[in-house]
Amino acid sequence: MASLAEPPTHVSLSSWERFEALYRASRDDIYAYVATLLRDRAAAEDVTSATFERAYRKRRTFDRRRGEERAWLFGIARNAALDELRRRRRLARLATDPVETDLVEDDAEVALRRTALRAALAQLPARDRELVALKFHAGLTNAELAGVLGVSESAVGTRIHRVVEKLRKACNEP
Amino acid sequence: MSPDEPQNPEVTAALAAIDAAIAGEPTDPDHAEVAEIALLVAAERPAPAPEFAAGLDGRVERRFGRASRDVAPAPSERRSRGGWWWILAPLAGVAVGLIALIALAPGGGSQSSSSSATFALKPRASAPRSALRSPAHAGAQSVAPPRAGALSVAPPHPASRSEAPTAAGPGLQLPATGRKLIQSSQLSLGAPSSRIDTVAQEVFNVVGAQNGFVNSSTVTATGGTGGYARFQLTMPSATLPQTMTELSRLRYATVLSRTDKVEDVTGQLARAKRRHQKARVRALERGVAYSQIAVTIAPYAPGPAHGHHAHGGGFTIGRAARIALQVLTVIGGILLIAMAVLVPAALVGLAGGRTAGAVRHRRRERALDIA
Repeated sequence: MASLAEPPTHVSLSSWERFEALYRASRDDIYAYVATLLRDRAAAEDVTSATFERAYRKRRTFDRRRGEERAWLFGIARNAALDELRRRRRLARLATDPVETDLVEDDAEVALRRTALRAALAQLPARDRELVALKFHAGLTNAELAGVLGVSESAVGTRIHRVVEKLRKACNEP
Repeated sequence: MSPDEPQNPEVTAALAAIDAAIAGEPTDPDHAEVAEIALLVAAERPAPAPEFAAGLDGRVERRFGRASRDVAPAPSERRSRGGWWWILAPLAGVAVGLIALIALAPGGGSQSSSSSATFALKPRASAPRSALRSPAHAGAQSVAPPRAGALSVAPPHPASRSEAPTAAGPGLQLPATGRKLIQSSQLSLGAPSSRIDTVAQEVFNVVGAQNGFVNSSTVTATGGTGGYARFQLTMPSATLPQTMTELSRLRYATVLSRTDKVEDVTGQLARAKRRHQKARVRALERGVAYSQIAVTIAPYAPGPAHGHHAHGGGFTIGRAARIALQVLTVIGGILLIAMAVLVPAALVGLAGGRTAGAVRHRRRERALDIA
């Protein structure tokens, strides 16, 4: 779900140009992932900034043989977010609800389902919430997800299916 | 079902519907509900505040310059920036320091006890007139002292003093105070085995040139790795400094050690004269007039510094190659010692780093579980 252009892959690009393209392509995705995981807007902003700063410092250590730049960047973001979680040892709520700013309610039924979905998302374990964040908010493919989480693509698919089923059941509950 | 087992067709189809819904493509009607859930979840995507996005854009434009200077990086980031050299560099420094300490410490080097041997031994332009010729080069031969009653080295006297065996220059330059002094010296020379007899001949030449006497001599030249020479010389005291200088500069020879002794016998001589002890007076006066020198020549393989001087100082390709080989050997030795220190340290550091990384990873995952 990259909101900006995909990073160019021309080999002649300098490390800075590649970083800048990666930043433009991934800024909002990184924020969405971190905000969903942390559920704290301020913390998400701090972690997003730290992620790109670390990525900028370590950009020359990136080894394409070990994966794509985007997966590498999300790995950094994940470590930073988990460090933040570990540091705070608590869950914080989002300061604002992003849905309210982005969406227009169509009808009452949709609004009800959305409310039920939000409640179900809030009840998800952190691991499942992370999966939702990476898949639906950051727009990673299953292969990229597998690279970030260090599991097989098949396992990622299975876990996504389980989470979606869990959410579907929660939305259908009276 | 284990996450690593192959997916069943139903799961595969549901995932395809999810991906299609996210991509805005038509979905399978059988999985419409799953696709709807996917769209609803995707719609919950948090968006960054415009102010934050603009601020981050600005920081990226400035390449985090200010923040990078203001915020001290975490240790893990320092490691990632400089690799593991921030650990290895101090270890390397300590290793090099230890090596230098070992190499330079007194007694630590194999050549440190013979520093006097590094003095230049310049070849003589011409051999002096020799009153005594050397014996045959093979076998051992003794030369009888030319004069009976030659003085022997006096035992150490309380008033006598010993000089450190370091000076390879002129002998003791005693002040002309009118005191009666008995002087003696011991000189230990090193020479290549094949040059023992040549050096011995030069000793004879020096003695002859300085009007001295060879009390006794033993020269053993095997032509191989052995060989040895020993001389007991009697020299006019007035020529002792010059004699010692020349003996210290023999071609092919290196001074290994040198000891000069001086005994003040002014009082003894006066007492002997007062008591009319003529024999004693003569002996003392002879001891004052003539000095004893004990010279030994032993096989000696010169090191790089010694060899350069001992072989005349001229430049040859062979000598340069030998020196280069020795330098490379020393460098190789230093590198080997450094490796012996650094490799285990690096392995320990690597293992520690991996362990720390694993622990950090576990803690992060645990934080996710707790959350």
